[in-house]
Amino acid sequence: MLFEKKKQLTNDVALTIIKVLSFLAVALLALIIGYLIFRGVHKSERTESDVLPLSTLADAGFESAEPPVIVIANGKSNIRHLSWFTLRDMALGKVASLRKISSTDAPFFLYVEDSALEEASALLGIESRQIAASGAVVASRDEILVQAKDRKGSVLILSRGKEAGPADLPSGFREPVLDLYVLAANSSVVQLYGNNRVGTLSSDDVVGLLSGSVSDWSLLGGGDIPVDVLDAQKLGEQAAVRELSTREGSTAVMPASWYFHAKQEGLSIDLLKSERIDSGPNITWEYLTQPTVESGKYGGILSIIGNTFVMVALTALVAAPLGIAAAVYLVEYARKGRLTSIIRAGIDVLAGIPSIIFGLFGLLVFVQMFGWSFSLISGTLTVALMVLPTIIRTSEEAIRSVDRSLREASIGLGATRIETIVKVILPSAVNGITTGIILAIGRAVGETVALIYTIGSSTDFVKNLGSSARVLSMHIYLTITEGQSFDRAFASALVLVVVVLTINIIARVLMTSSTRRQRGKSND
Amino acid sequence: MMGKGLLSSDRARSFKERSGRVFLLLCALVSVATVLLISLFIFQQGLPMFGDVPVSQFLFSADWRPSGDPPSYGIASFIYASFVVTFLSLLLSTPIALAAAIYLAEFAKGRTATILRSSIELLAGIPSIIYGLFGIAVIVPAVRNTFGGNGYSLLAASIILAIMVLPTIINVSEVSIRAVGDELRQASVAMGATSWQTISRVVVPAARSGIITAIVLGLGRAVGETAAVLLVGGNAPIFPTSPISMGRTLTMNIVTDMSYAEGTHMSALFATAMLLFVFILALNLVVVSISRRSRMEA
Amino acid sequence: MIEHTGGHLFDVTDLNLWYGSVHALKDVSLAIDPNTVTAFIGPSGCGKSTFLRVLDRMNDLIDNVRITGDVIFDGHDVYRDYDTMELRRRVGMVFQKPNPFPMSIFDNVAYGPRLHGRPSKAELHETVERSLSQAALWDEVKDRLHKSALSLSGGQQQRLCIARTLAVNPDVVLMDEPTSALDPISTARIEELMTELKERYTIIVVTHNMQQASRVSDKTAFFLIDDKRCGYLVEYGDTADLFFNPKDKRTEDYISGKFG
Repeated sequence: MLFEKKKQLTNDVALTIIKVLSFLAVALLALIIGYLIFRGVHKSERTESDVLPLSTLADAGFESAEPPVIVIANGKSNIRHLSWFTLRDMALGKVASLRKISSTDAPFFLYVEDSALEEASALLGIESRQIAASGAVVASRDEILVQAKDRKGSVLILSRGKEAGPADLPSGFREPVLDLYVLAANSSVVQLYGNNRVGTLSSDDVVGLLSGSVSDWSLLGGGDIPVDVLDAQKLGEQAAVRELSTREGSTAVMPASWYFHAKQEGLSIDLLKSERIDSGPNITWEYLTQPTVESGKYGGILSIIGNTFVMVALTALVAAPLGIAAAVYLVEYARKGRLTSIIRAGIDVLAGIPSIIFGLFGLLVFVQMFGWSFSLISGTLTVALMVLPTIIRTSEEAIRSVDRSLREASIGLGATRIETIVKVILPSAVNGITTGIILAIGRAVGETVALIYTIGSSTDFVKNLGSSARVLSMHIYLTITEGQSFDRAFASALVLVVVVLTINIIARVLMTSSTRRQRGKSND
Repeated sequence: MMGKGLLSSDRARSFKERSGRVFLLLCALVSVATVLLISLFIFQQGLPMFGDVPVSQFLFSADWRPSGDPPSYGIASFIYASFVVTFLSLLLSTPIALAAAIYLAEFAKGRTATILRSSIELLAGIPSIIYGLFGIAVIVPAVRNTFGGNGYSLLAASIILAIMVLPTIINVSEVSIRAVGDELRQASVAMGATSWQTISRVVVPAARSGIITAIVLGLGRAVGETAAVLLVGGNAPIFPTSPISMGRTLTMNIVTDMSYAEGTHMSALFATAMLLFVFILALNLVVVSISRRSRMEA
Repeated sequence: MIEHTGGHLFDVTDLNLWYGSVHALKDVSLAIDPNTVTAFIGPSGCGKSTFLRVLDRMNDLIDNVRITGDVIFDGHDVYRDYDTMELRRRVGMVFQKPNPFPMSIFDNVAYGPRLHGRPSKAELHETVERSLSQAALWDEVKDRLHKSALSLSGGQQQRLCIARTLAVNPDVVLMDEPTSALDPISTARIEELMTELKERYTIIVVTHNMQQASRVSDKTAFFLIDDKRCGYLVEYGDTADLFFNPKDKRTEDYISGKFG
């Protein structure tokens, strides 16, 4: 009896494990797709920042004073936050385009409200005539609002009205977060101690530091120096800066201007960089519809999407006739024998060859030997060869499953083999064949390694068969390996995944409808 | 008059017929031709290396320094890394794949089966760079947090590869399990076996050759994968000492160096490709012989 | 083995079976005594195989099967009291087409014992020899126990399947048209076997071959199918009586070959 119980228990446990493991596949899929959608749609890049992000300050319980001016930017500029340093550069005329600030391709314009000029220059530590000389437009509020409205890359400095409380934000503009404070420290803190150096601090690190729970710099990766937090507000600029530069291990939160001036005077203080988490929408309509600028660093991916479509269509155009013809031969003409076995072996081996070997082959033959260089034609032919087995296999199945009686009827009426094939069999097998082509397209769209050595990487839209053409999969790969923003990689990845999923769903629908049709036929 | 007319049109038709047949045959031979050409070209570029580098150094030395003085072209580290990554990925993926195949073949019905099947199909359709991207964003930090080290590691590569080969192993295994005759299941149940006993003692052993084929096919896919492993494997051309170390597989090596290699260096890369190609061919032969042997047993 | 003395081994009362909404068996009642050979005969499709599978609950493998009535085996209700696995150990089944596992002859016969316990090597060898002897196969295979079972001929494979069933020491062996896929010589061997086996076991055999039924069985049950395509029991009694002195005209018609 005991064995019986054990048998039953083993059975139940085993079956449960099987069920759980099986659904792991579903869970994995959900995880992957979900994560891709999340990262594609929502930016959450960690960047290094000189200034302390406002959110970190708030977490640390720091009461920051209201800035003496209001800064707004054109809605299309995508500027989410501005650091004191950036504002200063803007006011000095050092900023020409928004590319490095918000990854938007737009020329930069600075507008300053006349009544805010004094405050602005005080805040930034530059003389008002310098601001005007830099090319900023200084005028009345209404005037600058009118001008800035049409200019995507405009930033405006306005005076804060006498009334405390938020002013109404004019439509078409946004108010970026102003980060005007830095975490300054005595130079001893940031030095290299053996292999250790204090790195970029996370928000939690900063909070811990300021609250006193982090007592020693070694806990943050630095040397064995006790932490000494100063209250810069209380001390005032002169005293704070002096203390900071003389006391080993000291650190304080202070307005960026104080730090800047002290640094200019040569005092031994440095900045502690903190981590900023940039969140917000990632993939936007603009991204999809703007052409690519500067090889993908800025702008959208429209041309790349276009290139992808072209490559895929061409691949299908080349591979489909070849594949269908091969399938027809296998079903209608091939007899059991050496030749047929060789052909089948060829198809099976071709199907198993890794994409990198196809890439090398394409490089040697199309790019070098035929002299076509890195071009659409080289890449397309390479990928066409890769997807050939897929098309052959699916088409073969579809053609084989066409009812015998149709063939016999056609031949019986005096048609030749070829005529029967072209006029009767292929049309009946069209669903299965199309499914095969669609599946092949799905493979082609995701192909990366075979294209690295064949299709080139120009981000412009293809002009002819010989142009270099970056496609979506390559773009993602290059974005990652060239060390550019991950967020952009995810945005492109989302597009690719959506395309691939759509292709798969279409293929499935076609397949089920074709089997339904076949079943319907045989019931007649 | 009628006779003549018919004859000439018939001749035209039969010419069309014959040329059509030849055309179709040529199309079918494209695959064979491509395989032959690929071997030809890869070998042509790779063989010269063996003039400069002895086979023993190439295969057994872990010293890969193409820009050294003198240059050294030992790919043993890459062979080992490929082996480790492939082995680990199969280790991780086979139990899950078998479980899913058994579940689909023996138990799943209706909507559950459809959901499972669609998920597996979709997993199969996701391009490899996307897996690589996912690996960098999720798997690498996970490995870093659990095991320490860099995160970029052979282990991370194995995990991603395991997910990628799942659909292959599941599909082929499921077909083999389904192919086991129902009469065997009935005989077992009639003797009082539990479901699990029937599955583990009769069905799976009977489907053994198909399952092995599935695993071999998975092996082939894993060994040839480039993009995903490149992004998460760390790409350090050193001999990996543990699964957490960074490593470089054979495929990674080819991709990394190809853009700037020349002369013997490039030859060595093609020789690596040759090795890969020959290995895949060997795997194909193994699959064929397994299925031939199982057909003889039946 | 069997606990009580006297009384029937199987006692079926008013058994009805539905596949979904299709009524397949109607009001079947009969009793089987231990150490007998009982034959179920009747035209194809009359439900005799279905009824056979009621006895070891193999019908459970089909969806949508519904059963009413009482099926008592050895004093307990088959559908309510027994653990299915234990029931099937005690009530074994041999199928129409021989279905040996793709394993060695030894492993085939050892399969059952290994399912239900952890027998020692010696115990296994003993069981295998005993079962194969009882199935009249031992002499033919004793020198190649580790060869594949698939290398045996059809008749030998069926005897192997019988040995496999006997290895778990059942009380009853159900046989579903066991010789219909075999040649006449193998058929004769197995018919001989049935008569030998009834000393130790109780045999119930479904057959479409009336002559076979008259040769081997002690009792025979005759099934028919009604115009609603539902099977029912026409007559059940001693084989000699049923064949030479049938009580029901339909039985007489079937025996004398008017239909079926």
